[in-house]
Amino acid sequence: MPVIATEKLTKDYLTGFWTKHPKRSLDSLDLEVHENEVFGFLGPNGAGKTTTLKLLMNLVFPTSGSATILGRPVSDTSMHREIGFLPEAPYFYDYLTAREALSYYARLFGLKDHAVVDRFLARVGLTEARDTQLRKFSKGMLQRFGLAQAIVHDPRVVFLDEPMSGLDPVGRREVRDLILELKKEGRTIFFSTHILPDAETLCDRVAVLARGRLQGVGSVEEIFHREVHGVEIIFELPGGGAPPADLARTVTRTGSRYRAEVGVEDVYATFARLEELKARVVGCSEVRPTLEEYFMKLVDGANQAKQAGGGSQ
Amino acid sequence: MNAVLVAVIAWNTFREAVRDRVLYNLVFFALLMISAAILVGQISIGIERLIIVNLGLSAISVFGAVMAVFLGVGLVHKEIERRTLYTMLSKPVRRTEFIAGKYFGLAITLAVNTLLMTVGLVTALLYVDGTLRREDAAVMTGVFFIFLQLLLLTGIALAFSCFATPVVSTLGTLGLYLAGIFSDDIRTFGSLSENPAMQRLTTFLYYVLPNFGQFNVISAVGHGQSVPGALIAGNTAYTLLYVTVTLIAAAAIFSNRNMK
Amino acid sequence: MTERTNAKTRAIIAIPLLMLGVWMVARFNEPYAAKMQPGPDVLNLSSARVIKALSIGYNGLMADIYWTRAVQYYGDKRHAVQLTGNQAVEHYPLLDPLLEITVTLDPQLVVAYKFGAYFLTEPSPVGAARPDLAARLLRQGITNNPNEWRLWADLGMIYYQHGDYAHAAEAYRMGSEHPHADEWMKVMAAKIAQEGGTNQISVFLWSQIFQSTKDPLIRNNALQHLRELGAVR
Repeated sequence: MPVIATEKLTKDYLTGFWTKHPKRSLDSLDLEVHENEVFGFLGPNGAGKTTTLKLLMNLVFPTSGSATILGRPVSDTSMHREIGFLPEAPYFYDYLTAREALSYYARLFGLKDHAVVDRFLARVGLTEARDTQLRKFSKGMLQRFGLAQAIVHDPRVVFLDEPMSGLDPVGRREVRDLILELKKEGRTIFFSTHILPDAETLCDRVAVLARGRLQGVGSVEEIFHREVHGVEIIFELPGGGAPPADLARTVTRTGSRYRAEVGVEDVYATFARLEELKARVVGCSEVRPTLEEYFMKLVDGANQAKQAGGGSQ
Repeated sequence: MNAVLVAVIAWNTFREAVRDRVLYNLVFFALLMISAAILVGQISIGIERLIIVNLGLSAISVFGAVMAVFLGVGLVHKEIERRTLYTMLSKPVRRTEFIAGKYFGLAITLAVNTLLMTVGLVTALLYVDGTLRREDAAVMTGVFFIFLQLLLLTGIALAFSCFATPVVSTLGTLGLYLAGIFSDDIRTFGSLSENPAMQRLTTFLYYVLPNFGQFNVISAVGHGQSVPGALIAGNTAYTLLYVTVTLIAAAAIFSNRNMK
Repeated sequence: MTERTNAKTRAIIAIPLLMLGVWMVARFNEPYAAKMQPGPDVLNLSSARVIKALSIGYNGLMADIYWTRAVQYYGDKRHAVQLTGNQAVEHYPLLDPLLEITVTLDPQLVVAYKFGAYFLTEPSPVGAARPDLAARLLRQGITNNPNEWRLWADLGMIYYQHGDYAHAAEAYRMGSEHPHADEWMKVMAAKIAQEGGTNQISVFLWSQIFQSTKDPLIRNNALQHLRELGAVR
C-alpha cells in the first residue's frame, strides 16, 4: 500500500473579482509515494507544489480526483495523528515563546510532557532560544521551529514545503541531516523544493511538476541526467599565459584558473592539448543543465503542448 | 467533538488576548469609575448611586461589545491571514473543534474582563453608598445580561469572520447588533404600516434577529427594580440557543472553506 | 461522510429547529422584558441643547428622528383614544418638548412648526389644547425662517380660533407685508380687525388650511370644521 496516493487530483481556483473564472492549478495528478521514501516534489514557482500539499493537508478541497495518506482519505482528520506538516515560510503564534508554542502543538496530540518539548527544541538547535518569543525569531529560526512542530508527535509521514528556504548554508546542512535521520527512523518524507542539489542528496525519487501537470517521476538521475551538456575542465597555465583560442568552445578565466567547456567527444583531444601546453588540470566534471534550465524547458514544452492542443482545456 | 482539544485552543486564544494587552481597557474603566465616584457627589444630589450604576453598566456593555466585535471578527481571519491556520489544521483538529475553541477562548476573555469591571463597579458603589444594598443584586443581574449579550455578539462576529473580511464582518456584526437593539421599533414600524406583507416581514425580522432589546435592563436595575427569575432563565436559554445557531453556522461555513 | 458534508447537514437540520426554539423563548420573554423597559412616555433626554451636543454634527438626522418621534407619539396617543373610545381629556404632555427638541436641532424644519402648532392648539382629543405653546413655537419658527410668510397665517389662525381678534389681525398684517405673501392675507387682516369673528371668515380660513396641505388628518379635521360651519355637507 502506498503511503501517499493521489488519483487524478485536480484543483481549480476561482479568480477574478466580479466574474469568477476557474484557473487550473493542478491537473490530474497521479502519484504514489512508498513507505520510508524520501520523495522530492520539484518544480518552478507556481507549478502547483503548494496546491498539492494543501490538498493533501485538507486545507483546500479537490475539484475532482482523490488523495489518500496511509490508506485513509485526506478528509479524515484523525489521520493527522500520523503526519506532520511544515508549511512554506511558516508563521506561528508570535506572542508565544518557542517552548510555549511547541507545548501548545504537542497538547493538540495529547502530549503534556515538557521533556519531549525540550528534546525536540534541542533536536532543531533551538535550546538557547527556547524562552524567546517567536516574534523575535529570524526566518531561519522559524523554519527550525516549524520542523520541530512537524515531528514533535512522532509522525509516520512528514510533509515539508520548501524546508530549506530562508536558511543559511549551515542551516541547510542541518535540515538535510535531519531529513536523513527521519528516514533512518523509518518515516516517509515528502518535501517540495526548487533547489536541485537538495533533491539530489536526499531523495530516493522525485516528481517534477510544471504548470500544474506532472512531467515525470523517478530517481534524480533518471530525471535530470538524461543528457550531459559536456565536460568542464579547470586548469592553470604555467607562467600565466593565455590558452589558444581554439582549445574549447568556451573558455572563461577566474583569477589564475581557466574553465573550459568541451563536448563529451572532445575530452581526450583537449586533455592531449593541455598536456602539450603543460597545463595543470585542477578538476574535471560533467556539465548538466541547471534545474532552472530544466524547468525553463519544461515550461516551454508545456506552453507548446498547450498551443498545439488548441486550448482544449 | 473532542473537549480537551477545544479547551487547549480556547486557552491559547485567551492567552493571545492577554498578551496582546487587550485587558488594558480595564485601566480606562477603572479611571472612569474612580473619577465618576469622586465627581458625582459634587455635581449632583441624591442620584449618586443611580449615576454609578448607569455609567458602570453602560461602560461594561460598551467596552465588552467593542471587544467582542473587534476580537471576534479577527478570531478566524487573523489565523488565515498569518497562515498560523495551516499548521493548526494539519494537527488532528477538526475545523468544528477549532471554531469552538476560538469561540470559548474569546468567551473566557470577555468573562474575565466583565468580572474585573464588575469588581470596579461594586467598589465604586461601595464608595458612594458606604454599603451594599439588596437592590445591588439586580445590578449583578444587569451585568449577567450584558455578558449574555457579549456571548451572542461574539458568536455573530465569529460566524461573519468565517467567510467575510474583517471590515465586512465588523459592519455586519454591528449592523445586526443595532438591528437587534431596535428590533422592537422594527416591529412597531410594521404594525403602523397598513400593508400585511410588511407586517409579516417585520414580525419575522423581530423574532429572527438577535433580540438584544430583551437584555437591556440597565435603567430598570438602576432604579432598583428587580429582574424576574423567568426573564433570567429565558434570556439564558435564548443566548444558549442563538449562540449554538451561530456556532453551527460558523462551523458549516468554515468546514467548507478553501484555505487559499 | 466527511467533516464538510457533516457540518453542512448538521447546519441544515439543526438551525431551523434551534431558531424555532429561539422564537419560542423570545415569545416567552416578551412580557417580562417589556416590564423592564422604560415606558414609551419617558423622555430620556429633556434638554434639546444636550441632544444637540450629543448628536455630534448629525443634527439634521437627529431632528428628523425627533420629528418622527413627535409624530409617532401623537399618532400613538390619538390611536389609543380612538380604539378605546375613551374621550377622557388627552393632554399630549410630551408633544411640546419633542417639538422643542426637533426645532432646536433643525430650526429650518418648517413642517415641525406648522403641524406642531396645529396639533398643540387643537382642542382635546384632536390636540393638546395649548394655543399658548403653539403661538410660542410659531413665533420661534418665524424668527428662524423670516421668508415663510405662511407661518404668520398659521399664527393668525390660532389667535382667531380663540377669539383673540386683535392679535389675529396683527399676525395677518405682519404676514401680508412679506413681498411674496398672497393678497388674501391683507384682506384677512382688515376683515378681522373690522368685524372680529364671522362665519364667512372662518369658512375662508378653514378652506385655506384644507387647501394648503395634503395631510389627510389635517384635511379631515378642516373638513369637520367646515361642516360645523355649514359650508359643506
